[in-house]
Amino acid sequence: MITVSQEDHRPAYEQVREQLADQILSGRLLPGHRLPSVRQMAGDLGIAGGTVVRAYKELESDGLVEATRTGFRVRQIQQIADATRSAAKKYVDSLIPSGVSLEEAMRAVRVEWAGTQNK
Amino acid sequence: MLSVLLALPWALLILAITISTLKHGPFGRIEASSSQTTSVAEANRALAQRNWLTVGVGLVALAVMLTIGTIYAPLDSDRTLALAPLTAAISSIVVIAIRPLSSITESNDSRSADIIQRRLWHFAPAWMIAAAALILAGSIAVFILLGTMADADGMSISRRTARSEKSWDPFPGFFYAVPIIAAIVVLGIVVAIALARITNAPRPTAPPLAEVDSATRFHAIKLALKIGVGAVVYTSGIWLIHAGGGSRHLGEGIPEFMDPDPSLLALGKLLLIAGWVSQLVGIAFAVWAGKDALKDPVVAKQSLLQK
Repeated sequence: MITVSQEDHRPAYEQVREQLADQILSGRLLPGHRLPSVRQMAGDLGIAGGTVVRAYKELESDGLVEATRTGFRVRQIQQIADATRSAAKKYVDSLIPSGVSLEEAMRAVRVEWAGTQNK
Repeated sequence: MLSVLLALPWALLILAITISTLKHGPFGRIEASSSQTTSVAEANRALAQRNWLTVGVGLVALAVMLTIGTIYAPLDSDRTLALAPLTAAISSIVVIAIRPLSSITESNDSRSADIIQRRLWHFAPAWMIAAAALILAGSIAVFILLGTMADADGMSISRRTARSEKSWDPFPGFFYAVPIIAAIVVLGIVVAIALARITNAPRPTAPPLAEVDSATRFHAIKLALKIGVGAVVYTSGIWLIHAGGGSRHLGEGIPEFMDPDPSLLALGKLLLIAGWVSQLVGIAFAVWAGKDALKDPVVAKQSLLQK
């Protein structure tokens, strides 16, 4: 399930793209899974069809989905390694009690990652 | 076609009396929070309006076709009357196609969607859809078969011997069958469009609302299928009776001039029985559809825990 919230200040297409990308990368959406039609997704989320098309196109350019004659399907991609997911889970579990937002947690990862690369 | 004129008003009368005496309980009940109950009630009101419109438009279309066929008869009354039930069904189902469902509001500040491509058989058993498709295709096959039995004029059937000739009309040859087959095809297309629009209509994801949504979709699918199947089976029944009457008439022969034909007599009986059964089944489907149309799709009871 994906949600588009008015309280989220990011554009709707970005909210859709990010949630779908997360589900594909985490393996919850398996290769070959057919995404809902643009009309269905747009109707359910109460957004314009063009917004869904943009999200799907960006996922396609990221190599996560492929366009077929019957719609968009999840591509065969390299899943996140178990060790990486396990480490991420430990990090998330440690942050949840302190009420840190996803954005802040991701920013912290980027900062630390960049610091490691610069050493 | 006199039997059409005589049978149809009686069928409508029986239909109206039966529907008026039926209990109109809801299609289903669920428990929901107070905000969800309001949302479901609003959706139910909109669906009830659509259902009344569906019935009303169908009855108006039927009345118009019967009036044209019986009073004005600008071209030929038989074909106009034969198309009346199918035209009424097409008109009713167009209403469902235009307004398949009323969306149930989930929340004012966020909307959710499931990440699966919805299919018709997620909301109605596949056998139900297959059975309806089979009935439509079977009816077309019957009309083609009867069409090949008729005379070249497409409106009568004859039997000739060296000493005499006997004929019967109206018989469902291609003069009558072609517009009926065309109407059945149009009906099939309209039903398919309605079912596709029911399937693709926006859907909430919160569990009690999703349950309501599934029930209203199933309700709309059944309504469209019952109207469509009822009209096709009823129309087939009328013409099977005519075909049966014709076959039996020719099979009886003419004393001293034409020997009776047992196979034609047997075919006549078979077609007559099939015709009467089809007419009764068609009326039953129309009553059933009317009963469903007058029901509330789902009544949401406020949950004791969430009051």
